Amino acid sequence: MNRDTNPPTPYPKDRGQVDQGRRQFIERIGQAGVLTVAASPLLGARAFAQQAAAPPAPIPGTVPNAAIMAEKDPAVKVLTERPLTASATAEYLHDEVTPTARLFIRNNLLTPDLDAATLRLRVTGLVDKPLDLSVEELQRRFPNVTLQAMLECAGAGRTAFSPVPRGTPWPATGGMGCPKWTGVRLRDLLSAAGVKGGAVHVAFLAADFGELATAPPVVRSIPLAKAVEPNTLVAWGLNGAPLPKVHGYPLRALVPGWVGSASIKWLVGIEVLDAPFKGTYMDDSYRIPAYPVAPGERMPKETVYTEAWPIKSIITHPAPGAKFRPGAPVMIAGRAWAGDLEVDRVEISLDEGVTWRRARLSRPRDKYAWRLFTYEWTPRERGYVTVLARATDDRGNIQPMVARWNPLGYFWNGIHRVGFSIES
Amino acid sequence: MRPPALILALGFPLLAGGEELKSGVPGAELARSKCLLCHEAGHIVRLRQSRAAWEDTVDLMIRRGAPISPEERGIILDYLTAHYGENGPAGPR
Ligand code: HEC
Repeated sequence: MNRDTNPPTPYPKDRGQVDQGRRQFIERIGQAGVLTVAASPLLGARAFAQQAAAPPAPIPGTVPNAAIMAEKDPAVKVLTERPLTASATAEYLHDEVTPTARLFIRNNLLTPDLDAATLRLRVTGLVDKPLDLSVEELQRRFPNVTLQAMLECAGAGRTAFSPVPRGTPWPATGGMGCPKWTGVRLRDLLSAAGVKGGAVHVAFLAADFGELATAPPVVRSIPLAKAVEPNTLVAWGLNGAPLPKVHGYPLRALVPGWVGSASIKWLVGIEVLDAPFKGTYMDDSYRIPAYPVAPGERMPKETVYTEAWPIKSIITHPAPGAKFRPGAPVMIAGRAWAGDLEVDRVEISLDEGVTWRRARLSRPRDKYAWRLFTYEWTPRERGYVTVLARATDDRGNIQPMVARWNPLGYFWNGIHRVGFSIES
Repeated sequence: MRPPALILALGFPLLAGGEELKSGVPGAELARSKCLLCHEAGHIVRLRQSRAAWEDTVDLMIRRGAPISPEERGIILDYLTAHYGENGPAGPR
């Protein structure tokens, strides 16, 4: 792919290193006939010409959105088509393990149609012995693990902010899920490669591409400490089946508890670096101000990375607008999770936060799996009821009523409220 | 493939609404030819923001690969601020 036409970017050095690997990768699979047409400006122009009348014709080497959405439950609503984003809301997320058909979709670019038989995963950078593995070698050579873990977009819930920041318009309870993942531990790969002194971050390089050749590849890096955490995976399985194409087939990173963008899909490269990766997906996105700013303000110069999610919970039952009878018990239920920390408790309020009562919390299972909370309540009178759920983590952090506003709309963890009726 | 997939694959848009970038005004041709290269108009027409915020957005798009020259940038910013500025009519939400 020719990137000479790239506009000047603020990240020449590091990106060049990883980009070279990606270029080689794209050339190779191009030879294998998978990506026969690399994205070209013409494709975008053609897409534009067709925009008014019909959606663009399928782009070679990609999976059309319609085929992706045909595999999803109708509760998963498309939010944007280019790039594809889609999500269900809390009342459809009651399953203990999020079914694949209900898992949200968040692409940055197109959905590449990759071939597991020819794909290679490279581990390079500050390592003693770089690795170059097929999917099959990866699966055979390292211990396989299955664990349940949260995946949640940094911008999940964004439209609950006021004013609504730019970016994917996730509904207040959209952009999150907790399925089961199967893969190998990233730490096992890194120790096979032998991490050298001076390693600080580990970058993930994705194979997805945009409609214009000038679109930079998606690269994100995480601190070495999180990379060697035993729950950080290179995954190929989702709920006991191969990853669907839109969720990263054949390989993706899984960085549980952290912003979803760290869990790079279509993973083809892992590079050990002496500093955080510099690139548009590190420096322009997934950042919050280093200090609080007024709602509606621009991003200040001083910013910090988004990493682990703060304490959060959603009410999955009852559904908004549900109807019950006086005297019959209502089961209030939902899920709570806490980024890298543990959920300590969940409380329920039925009077707009004046009084709180403790919900029953399920036992912790896998470290990054959300936990079920339940609270049984028997209404005595008819009328409209609002239920609020508030979780607290093991460090004493409590969910706020309203999350702190930030220009890109990350980390919405405001208290979820659901209204329902008691009718006699 | 299930029947709905077949129907969808024939080319029905998944999103109803079909939001459009305002046309027939100065800068519209240019903005439409550049800003719809990679994504639908919905990302843009949803927003009402200041010129400074549009500058940030357009510069981000350039870093994400949008082929926009400095002159074109100015024309597109005038267009965006005029029609999707912070005091503009409320957008679809
Ligand atoms: C090279 C492809 C490309 C072009 C051309 C392009 N964009 Fe984008 N744009 C993107 C991508 C990719 C995203 C999604 C970013 C994300 O999801 O993080 C995006 C998202 C957006 C968003 C949503 C806000 C956000 O940060 O996600 C707005 C607004 C936007 N673009 C405006 C524009 C405007 C205005 C133009 C024309 C000046 C333009 N875009 C041209 C690639 C492009």
